[in-house]
Amino acid sequence: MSQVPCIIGFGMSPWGSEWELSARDLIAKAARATIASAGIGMKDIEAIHIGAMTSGMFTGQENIGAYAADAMGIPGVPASRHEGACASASVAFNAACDDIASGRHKIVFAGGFEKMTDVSGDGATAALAAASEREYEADQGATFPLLYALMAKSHMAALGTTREMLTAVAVKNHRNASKNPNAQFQMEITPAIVENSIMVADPLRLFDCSPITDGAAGLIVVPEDVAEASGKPYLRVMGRALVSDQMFLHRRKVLHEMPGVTKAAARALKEAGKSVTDMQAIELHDCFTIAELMILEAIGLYEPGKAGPATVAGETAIEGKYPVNSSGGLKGKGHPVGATGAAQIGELFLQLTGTAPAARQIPNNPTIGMAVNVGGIGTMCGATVLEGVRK
Amino acid sequence: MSEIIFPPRIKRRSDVLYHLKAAKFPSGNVLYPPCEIDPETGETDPEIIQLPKTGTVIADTVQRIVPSWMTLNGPYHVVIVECDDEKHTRLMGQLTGADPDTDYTGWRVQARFRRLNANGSEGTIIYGFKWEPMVGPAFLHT
Repeated sequence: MSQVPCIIGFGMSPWGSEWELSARDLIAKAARATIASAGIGMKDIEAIHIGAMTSGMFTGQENIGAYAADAMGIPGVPASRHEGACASASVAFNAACDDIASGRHKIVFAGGFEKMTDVSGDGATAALAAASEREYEADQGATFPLLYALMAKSHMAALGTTREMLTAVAVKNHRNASKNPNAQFQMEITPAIVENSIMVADPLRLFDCSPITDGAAGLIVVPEDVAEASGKPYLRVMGRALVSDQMFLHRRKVLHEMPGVTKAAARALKEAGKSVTDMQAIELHDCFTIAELMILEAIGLYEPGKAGPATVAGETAIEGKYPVNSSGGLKGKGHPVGATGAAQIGELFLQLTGTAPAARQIPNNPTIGMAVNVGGIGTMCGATVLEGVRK
Repeated sequence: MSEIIFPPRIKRRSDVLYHLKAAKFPSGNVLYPPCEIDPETGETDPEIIQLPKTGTVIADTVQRIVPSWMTLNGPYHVVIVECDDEKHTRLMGQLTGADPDTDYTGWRVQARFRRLNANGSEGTIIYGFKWEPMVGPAFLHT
C-alpha cells in the first residue's frame, strides 16, 4: 500500500554571495539545519536526492550524488543528483516522495544547491542560458531575462499589464524578504528603486530580476507513521506533479502563457482533492516579476490579466486574500537555482505548521498551501499541494 | 566568458541557418528548426522545406546588458518572426539595421544573410539570417 509522504524537517544554508563557503560547505550547512529541524541524526538518512542545475559550469564539480553524501558525512547511502533547470529541487523532491510512497525507504533527504558566484556575472548568465534551447534560441542571443522580456511584452500588449504591476511584485517580495533572516536581500525597496534601475531587456529592469545566489536547502521526507511518531508538527504531501513542456519559446502558441504550469497545478490539485482557491499560502517562481503574474494566472487563481491589478491592490501580500511568496520569493530571498524548489516547500513547512517567525507568519493559522517551481521558460514545472499537521 | 562553439555544431546547423530549412509533417505542421518528431502530434518523417524570407515581427525586445558571448554586438534586438508561409511558421532571430529604441512588433521584415556571432579571437564565425525592418508605412502590418 502506498505511503503518504510527509515532511518533518527543513533547513537552509546561508543564502547570498557566500564567497567563503564552497558548494560542499553549503550542502553540509543545509543538511545540518535540516536534521536539527527534524530531530534526527545524519546517519538516520537512508537516501539522498539532491537538485543541482549546472554545477559543472558554475563550479566544475560533477558526480553530485556522491559529492553530497560525502559533504553530509554519510558516504555509502544511495545518492542521486537531479536536474530540471531551476526546478531541479522539485525533481529531487518528487524522487524522494516516490522512495517513501513505494516503501523503499523510511527517511530520505531531498534538497538542492547551487554555488553561483564562483564565476562572473557573465559566466552565470551563460550557465543559466544552458536551460534554454541552446542551438537556435540562446545562440541567437536569447538570455533568460530576454526570454521573459518577450513574454512580458506579450502579456502587456494582450492583457494590459503595466510597469506599475511589475513593480508591485518586486516591492511586495522585498517587503516579505525584509522579515526573513535567511533572505539574501533583507531590505524593503521603493517603486522608484525598481523603476530607475538599469534596463536589462525591455521592459525588465534589474529589480525585476531575481539575483545570483549561493545556497542550499533540505527537507526530510518520511512516511506518515514516522511523522506521527516524531510528535512534532509536519507537512503531509497531498498532491504533487512534475510536467515537462517544449523547449522553444517561439513555438509556444501564446507567448505569455505557461501551459506546463497549468497542467502541473491542475494535476497536483486534483490529487489533493482541492481547488486553487483553497490555498492559504503560495510559494511560486518569481524568477522575474512577470513570472509571478503569469504563474498566478496559469494556476487559475486569477483570470488572465487580473493578477497584476490584484497584486497592486495587496491581495497577494502576507495579510492579503492569497498570500504569495511570504519568504520573499526568488526576488528577495534569493535564487540558487538548484535549491529553490526545496526552499519553497520549506517556507510552506514553516507557514503551515505555524512555526514561521512571527514577523512574517501568515495570519489565521493557514494549513493548506501550494508550491510552484519552474525550470526554464516553464519547460519543467513542479507543483506540490501541502497540508500542515499542527501539534 | 566567451563560449567556444566547435565546428561540428556549426556544420550541422549550417544548412538550416543558411537556407531557413524547416520540417513539414503530414498533419501540415511546420516546425523550425527541423526535427524528427512533431512534439504536438508525434508524427515522424517530415518533408524538409525552405521558409520564405519575409515575415512579420510578433514580439521584440532589446538585450541591453550584452553577454560577452555575443561578441559582435552592442545592445541588440531579438525578435520572434512569423514567416510568410501558409502556416505562419515562427522562429527567433536578431534584427539588423534596427534602432535600439524602437519597438518593431508588427513590422514587416526580410531576411538578410549576416554574421551572427564569432567565437572569440580564435573561434569560428557563425553566419545565418538576421531580419531587417522593411522601412516605410506601406510595409506596416496592421
